[in-house]
Amino acid sequence: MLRRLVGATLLLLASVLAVVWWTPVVDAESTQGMTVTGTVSAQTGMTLDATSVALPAGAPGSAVTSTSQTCVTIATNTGQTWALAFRAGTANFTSSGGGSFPTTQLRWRIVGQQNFTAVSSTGNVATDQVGKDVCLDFQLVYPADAPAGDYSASFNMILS
Amino acid sequence: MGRLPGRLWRGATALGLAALLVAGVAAAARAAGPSLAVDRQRVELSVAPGESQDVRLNVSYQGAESGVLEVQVHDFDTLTDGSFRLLEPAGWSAPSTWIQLAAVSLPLQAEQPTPLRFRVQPASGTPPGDYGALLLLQLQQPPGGGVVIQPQLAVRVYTRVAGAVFRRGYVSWLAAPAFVDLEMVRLSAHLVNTGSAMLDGAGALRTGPVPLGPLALGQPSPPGRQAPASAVMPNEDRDLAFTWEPPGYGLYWLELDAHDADVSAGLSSWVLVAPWRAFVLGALVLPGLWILSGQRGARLRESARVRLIALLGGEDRRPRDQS
Repeated sequence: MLRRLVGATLLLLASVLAVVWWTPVVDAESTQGMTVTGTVSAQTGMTLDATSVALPAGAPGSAVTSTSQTCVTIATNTGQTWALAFRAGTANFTSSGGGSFPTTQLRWRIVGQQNFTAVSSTGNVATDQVGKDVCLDFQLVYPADAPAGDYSASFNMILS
Repeated sequence: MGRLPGRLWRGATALGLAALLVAGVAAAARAAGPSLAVDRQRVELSVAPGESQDVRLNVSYQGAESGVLEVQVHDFDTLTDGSFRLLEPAGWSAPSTWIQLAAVSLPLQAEQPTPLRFRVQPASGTPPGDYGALLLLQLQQPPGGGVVIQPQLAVRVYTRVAGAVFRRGYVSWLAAPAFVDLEMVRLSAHLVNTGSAMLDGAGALRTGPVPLGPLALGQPSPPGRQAPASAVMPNEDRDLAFTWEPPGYGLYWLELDAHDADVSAGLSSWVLVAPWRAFVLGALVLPGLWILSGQRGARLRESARVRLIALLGGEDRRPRDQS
């Protein structure tokens, strides 16, 4: 009985491996070839679905998370590779009352990822899916010593 | 009772249509954001010191009826992953100071390409070689609260200051799997430019004595991350990723050379291309079949022995195999 079980298990394992290894996989890279002829002009660009993100109010020292996503779509017909970066445009969040705290208090992540990443001057959101949305959401940690007020800061979504 | 499935079906259909409507509205809302595009993300020109050259780019904008484009010029260096870092202005000799914009802000009309003009004039006395500067194109945003995100396009402007440039560089490492099947292989390497000319996006991957032809350096290997197809500038180094498809089974010697003959310094690596998956399957299937056939053979032999003894009128006292 045991030997029969071992033999059947070996064959079953071989079947599973054969299915996994030899199931045809559509190679995304191989479908990207595009011949541009005639008067089609080269274009590489980005579309942002929104340029402003409102974050909930929070007590000093608390962390709040955006309730909506910000998505960017890359379109290119040049065949060139590209990279996307989310970077701080200003050094600080500022309020009309004169309060400020560093923009590094904002964290971002690609929707679906588990961890947030602090905003830096070189943050790279590189991805390889032309025409597909790259969506971010955000978390802001209010410093414990931040004066009360409405804060704002500017960030850049850079296509290069 | 018989009408209930019909009602359920109609309810489910209505719910599905509502979901489609909501998804359509969401998609329309998503597409309503500002869009910025440019016809060239990379400009290359050759200029003699003291002379100048005019360049025109076309910027396209979609969004509100009109918008304003802000243009900034920066010096930059490229990080090993291909992204860039802005540098502080480095005085009169910095390449960013060679670029004179016709206007630092341009009115944009939706659906209409807008020309962006600038002049490149290297400072006189600049040593021959390749230099890079970066144009950042950005939509002017109305002030708003919270987190404001501005779309930016980065256009690299490479200027060759004419004269005797020299190419020098080396591949500091080449990483390839040692053992693969007939499949797309991902390779990576690190290229260091120590010359005065850019090492551009082309190279050669050789297998044994037979060259495989040109290979785009920086060509992305799916589904990995993509670096922009930019040149490796003087004093820069870069991680390169590319793919190779073995033409058949065998032992291959891979060598990566930079594009130019005077930048050889290639590194090599051995790759054994073998049907290792077939070997693994064989190692599973053959023992499995052997074990099962042994079981079946034992049962058949036992059955034949019992029948033979019964035929001869004897009695089998041995315990039977219950399996």
